[in-house]
Amino acid sequence: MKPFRTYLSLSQAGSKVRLLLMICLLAQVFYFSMREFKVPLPAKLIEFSIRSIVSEDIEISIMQPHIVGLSKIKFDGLLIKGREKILFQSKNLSLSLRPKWPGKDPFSLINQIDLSGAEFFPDERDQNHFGISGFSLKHQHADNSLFLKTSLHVGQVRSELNLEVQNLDQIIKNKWSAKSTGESNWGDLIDSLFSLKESIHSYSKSFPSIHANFRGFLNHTGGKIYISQKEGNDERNQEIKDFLTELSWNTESENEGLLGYRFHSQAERLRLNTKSANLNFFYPVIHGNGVINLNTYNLLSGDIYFTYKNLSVAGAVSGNLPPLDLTLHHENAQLKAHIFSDTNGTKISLNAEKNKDGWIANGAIKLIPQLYDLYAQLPQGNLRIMDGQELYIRLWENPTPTRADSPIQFLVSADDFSALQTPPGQFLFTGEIKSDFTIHINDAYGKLGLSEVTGTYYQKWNPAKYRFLLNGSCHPPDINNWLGIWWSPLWRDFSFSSAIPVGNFSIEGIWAGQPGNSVTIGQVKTKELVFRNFPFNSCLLDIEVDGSSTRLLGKKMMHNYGSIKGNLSFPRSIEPSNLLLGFSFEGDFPVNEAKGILGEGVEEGLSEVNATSIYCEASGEVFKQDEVETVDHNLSWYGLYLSTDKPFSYAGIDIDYARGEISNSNGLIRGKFDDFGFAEGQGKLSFSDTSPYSDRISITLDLKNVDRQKLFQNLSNSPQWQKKTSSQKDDQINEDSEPKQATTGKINLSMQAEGPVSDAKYFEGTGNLVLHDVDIGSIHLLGGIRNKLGAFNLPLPSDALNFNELVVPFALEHDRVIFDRARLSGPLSKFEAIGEVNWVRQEVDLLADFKLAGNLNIPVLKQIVNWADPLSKFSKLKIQGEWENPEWSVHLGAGSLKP
Amino acid sequence: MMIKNRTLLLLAANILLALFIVLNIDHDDQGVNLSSKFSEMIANMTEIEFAQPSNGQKIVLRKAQTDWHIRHPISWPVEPISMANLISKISHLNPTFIGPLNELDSRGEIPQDYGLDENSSSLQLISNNATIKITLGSLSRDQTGRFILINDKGIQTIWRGPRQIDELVNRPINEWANLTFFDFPLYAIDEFQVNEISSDGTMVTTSLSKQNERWYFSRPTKSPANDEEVSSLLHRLVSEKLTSFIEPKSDYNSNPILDITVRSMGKSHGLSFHRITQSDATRVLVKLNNNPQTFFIAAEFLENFINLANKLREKRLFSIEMDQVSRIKIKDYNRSLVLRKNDQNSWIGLEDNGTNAFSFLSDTEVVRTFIHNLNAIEVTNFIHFNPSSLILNQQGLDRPQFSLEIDKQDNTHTSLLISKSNTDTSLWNTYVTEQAFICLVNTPWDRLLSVEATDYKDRRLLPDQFSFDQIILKSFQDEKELSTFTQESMGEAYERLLGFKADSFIDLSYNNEGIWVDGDWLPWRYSLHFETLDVNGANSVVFHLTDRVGGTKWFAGSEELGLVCNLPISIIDELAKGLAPEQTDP
Repeated sequence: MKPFRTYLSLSQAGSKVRLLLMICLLAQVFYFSMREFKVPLPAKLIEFSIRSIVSEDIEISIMQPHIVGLSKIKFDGLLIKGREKILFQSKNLSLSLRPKWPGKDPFSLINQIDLSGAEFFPDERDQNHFGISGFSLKHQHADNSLFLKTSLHVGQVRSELNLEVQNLDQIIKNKWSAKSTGESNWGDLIDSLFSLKESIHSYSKSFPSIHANFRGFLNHTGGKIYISQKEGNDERNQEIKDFLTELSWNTESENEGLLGYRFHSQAERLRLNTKSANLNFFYPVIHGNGVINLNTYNLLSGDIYFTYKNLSVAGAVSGNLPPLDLTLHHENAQLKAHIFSDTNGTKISLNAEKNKDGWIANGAIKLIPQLYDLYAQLPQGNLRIMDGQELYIRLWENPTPTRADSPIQFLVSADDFSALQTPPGQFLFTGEIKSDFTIHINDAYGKLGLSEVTGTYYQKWNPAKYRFLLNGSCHPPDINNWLGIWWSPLWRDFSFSSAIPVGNFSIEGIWAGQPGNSVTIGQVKTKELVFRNFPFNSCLLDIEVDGSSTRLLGKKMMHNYGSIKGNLSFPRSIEPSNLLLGFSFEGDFPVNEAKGILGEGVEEGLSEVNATSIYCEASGEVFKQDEVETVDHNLSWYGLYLSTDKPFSYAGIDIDYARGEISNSNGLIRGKFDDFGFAEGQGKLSFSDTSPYSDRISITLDLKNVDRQKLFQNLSNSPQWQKKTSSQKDDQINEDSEPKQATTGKINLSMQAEGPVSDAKYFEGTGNLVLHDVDIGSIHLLGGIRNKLGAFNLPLPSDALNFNELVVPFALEHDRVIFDRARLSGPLSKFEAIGEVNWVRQEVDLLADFKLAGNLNIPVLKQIVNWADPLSKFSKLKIQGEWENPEWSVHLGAGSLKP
Repeated sequence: MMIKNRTLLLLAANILLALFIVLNIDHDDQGVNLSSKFSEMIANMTEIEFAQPSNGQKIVLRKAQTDWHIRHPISWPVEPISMANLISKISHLNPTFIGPLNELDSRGEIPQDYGLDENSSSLQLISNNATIKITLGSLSRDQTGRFILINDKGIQTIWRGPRQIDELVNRPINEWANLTFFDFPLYAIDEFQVNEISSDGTMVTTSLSKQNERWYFSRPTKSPANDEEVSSLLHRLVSEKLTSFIEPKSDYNSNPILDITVRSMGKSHGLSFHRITQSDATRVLVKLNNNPQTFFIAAEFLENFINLANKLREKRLFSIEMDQVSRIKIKDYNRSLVLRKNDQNSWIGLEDNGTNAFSFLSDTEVVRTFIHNLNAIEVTNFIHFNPSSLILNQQGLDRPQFSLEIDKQDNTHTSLLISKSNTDTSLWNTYVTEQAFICLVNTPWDRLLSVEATDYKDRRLLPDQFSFDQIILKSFQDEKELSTFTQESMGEAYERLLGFKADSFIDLSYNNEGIWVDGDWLPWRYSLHFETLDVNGANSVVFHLTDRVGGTKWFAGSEELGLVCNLPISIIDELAKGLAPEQTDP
């Protein structure tokens, strides 16, 4: 070839190549630029097109449709509604289209569908409950299948789906044929879907949080999906671990309207949290199968089997439960359930059946409680729920019910059985269960510890009403653990003899109902009983507990010294009341032996009382010492009437008898004893607090004809007196040196004083003391008047130093007893003294006039003697010093005369 | 030269733009591709093969329709959860791409560096048009992963997968197999027969069938069976798991010691159990009549079938409907009490204390409760079947403490002889004459079998045909009205009081002042007047009441009826409500 021609041919070829390359380059540029190029489409046109291929019941709205590039249609929003409800909505939807349309059906044009931010059945109540993300539907034309990949969430359940839809043409064919026959059912289908959604919505709330992976296939005859759990980061907090499921279904070949399904699930652990306990199922397995009517979406028949290897319980109840196998069979509106367990400590075979008449059940449960490690966390402690050798429960059909509509009869027997760590015992219950599951124990027998009880019980539901009717002997501490923390303190101070109390009780209420809803009415009758170390020979006690209070009504409480009846009332802690205790009682109160039975406070108050038995009538209320009860607002009160004809002592002081009242109201204690016998005399005493703000009291005492010697003997027994007069010799008051007859005497004392209880030396008041019917001169008063005056060797007549009456009007000012006109008088003479006694320091300081015949009642003679008696005129007696043995001196004019 | 340069320039521009487009379009990486492939393979696979060349083991699982079966080395259904576990593990492989196998040379490596050789275990997923083989290599250096070789359509790539994948590939056959060998729903079993074959060839046959959802023996005797025991036995059978399979070539010849035939859903299924002793260990081999595969189970399983006729016997002594009963006779040594239903469906009692007899109208509800209580009696233990008179004598049943006879309207008869057990005083020897067995019963017969007329006497306290309009509760001492019950004022409370009856009778005599109960004197405190407003009507009926005693007792007496009784709790509750405002402290 010539060079030119060669050049030209090459040139032409080169041009063609360059042209081709240029076209290719431009095509690439066009393709690349068109990839993102958006061409808007009319939404109405597309909606109209879609409406032509779907049911009229379905309404589809499309937002801003546009073509992107050459093979993709995008929508900025898609809304599908049916029956005025939103079925589906999505923010973005894109359809990748095939370059050519095979023309078979509209779906074959689509290559792939992607969408994001989609929701099924959106609901304002619970937004985003059903959601979709990362949705991709790829049409594998060669395989005649679709491959669906998406993430879906239903409540707390998140799942990733990888599903292949096989035999697409068959599915479409079936669907199309179904459409032609069942087009009018779209509305019902939508309703069914919403109903299904509502069911799933409520059901899924109890689903554990789980992230699952769904893989499998479905085709025109059925499908199979494997579900596995994605591993989480925090396995400890996972409610379900290593969850696996195989789910398959297929349409029944002989009946296309039926769908058979089968599933098999297992997890390594499943945790369910309930109000009272957290349940941890280890290796739970559930599998089942069934048939669904596709036309009605009804379950025609189904079987479910559930089991686990171990169940661990934690919380209010804790421990481990053995494996159980549960099978459920549902067919023709009839449900049958079997529960089985067969381990060392558990044999269960229960069958329950529900038909149109309700539930019937039969079967047996045989447990060896000692092999169970179940504990209940209760206020009274962490207690083992059951222990013992055997617990046997038997259920049968009930051919002769004693109550209407009671299809189940049962028997419970337990041997050496302990519930909540009570003493082991025997139990035998028989009863019935009604269709609404109300349980009636018609005949219950229980013997545990020292108690042996028969009775009845019922348990209703919604609300959980119950009632015990019990008769028998009850040793209350035996059931401490059953009745909570309020029960055992009631009986802590009791000790029962071999004669165990007999009682009958009605206890009714609602479990977990309003606090304090239970009502207990009962009576306890007991023989020997010791309460706070005091023995009762027999007691008859009514017990009433209702929403407001617990009342113990002691009807007849016999003891060695008489009987008591009375009641105690404790408000329930749930009551907004500050009342701690209300009481009233009447009867013979054996103070010495029973002073402890009313509590430490009363025991302390009665500690100074020494009495075999005092008749009492008392009532009162004790309120809590809190902000409600202040000094200004003291609600506690009591009134007490005491009467005894038998001697008793108070603080070592013997009282012959007493009748009186003590009351406490508004924080002020008042006492009034109109009659009491003291040292062979009589007395009246009243005392009262003067103010709630201090411990000052006002005392009015009136003693008549009190035997002086016994008075001082009595006082000498008093620790208070002994304390004050410890240095004194007994002979000062006992006067052992004189004949007893001569040294007795009677004292009348009336006194009104006021002062602080805590320190008697701050008392103030007035009084009058009269000592009479005694030879005062011979007694050891102020060292002995006769002795002291005799020592002066004064020229006195023989009877001048005989005195038989001492009258001392006095004023009490703290530690001083002051008198300005104490008069000691005898048949002939009299002393008139002024001065004071310091009873704290036990000192006297007296200045007395001695009048030789000053007490003569013969007027003229008296004047003569006084005129003739220079001693009386010019002398004073001064008595000073310790009152046990003061110094006496006679002052004559300016000088003094010593003995 | 210029021309050439322009052509080259255009070519380069094309290539560069194409590269740019390709790089911008194809974002998928190897991992995403592999994940998609596994997803699609999982949906399509029809066969899975596990190979362990090192120990010459191969397990083949094959899908038949939708279910998987082990096809090699045995033929047995696959446990569904095992398959789900396999799918899960493959789905969560998340391998990290290391490189193509054919590039190892260029990197100076060989497959053995990754633990890949001819002895490596492998897993092969096979679908109709694709195969993916995963061969396991060695652990990675940090011991947290394992190298795997993935062969996809001849393209072999090395990846780093999870360490635990070998647990999946090297699983023993038992972990793939469904270990329950008799997988039938319980409710679907209608009949079964158990043949116990002793070493001398004698056979004890026990067979049961279900009729109206109840199980009955058809052999050895026709009698009711204990449904729960039967269900429990069948549950053990359907949930028992085999322990190991027998290799196909193994040959064990022995005679069966137990044959079980079960009829379910119209088909018969048989199992034969053979005891095999090997090197001091006894194992039980099981053969199925519809599957050639044999296997071993735990030897203890056979204990469930020993003495079956006794184990499955019904232990409930009575299951009587009251309407079926026509006569009941209770005998306590010489004293007896007969309850007989008359034509008006009333029950007439006859008490006979050996010297005197008197009849009385019985309370239908009391009779009902008595029959109800009989229905709650269960055998604790069967001790003798068909006892001789000597055994009856030894058990104290020749002179029984109690006897009980029940006649039914269909002319059937049940009679029991009862005496305290010689060995355990809490139990009672009970001889059921018609069924000819002696059993022990722990129900306290002495509490149940009363021959006292008062325990059966009609509880109604108001005269027949007596009608009234109001019920007045008064103080006994001063006749002060405490509460008035009328239909209008008290509604339901009044309705309940209409059925005024006794709960139990305390005494069949009456005292004007009060009553003695358990050593306590309880004076009358209230009176209850059932009155009519019609002045010409019948006289009122008056009952006297004590104080309520505890929670469950309130005693009433009637001079007219000459009796004292305790009131039922329903009446006590209503009377207590009527008294509530009047309650005072003692």
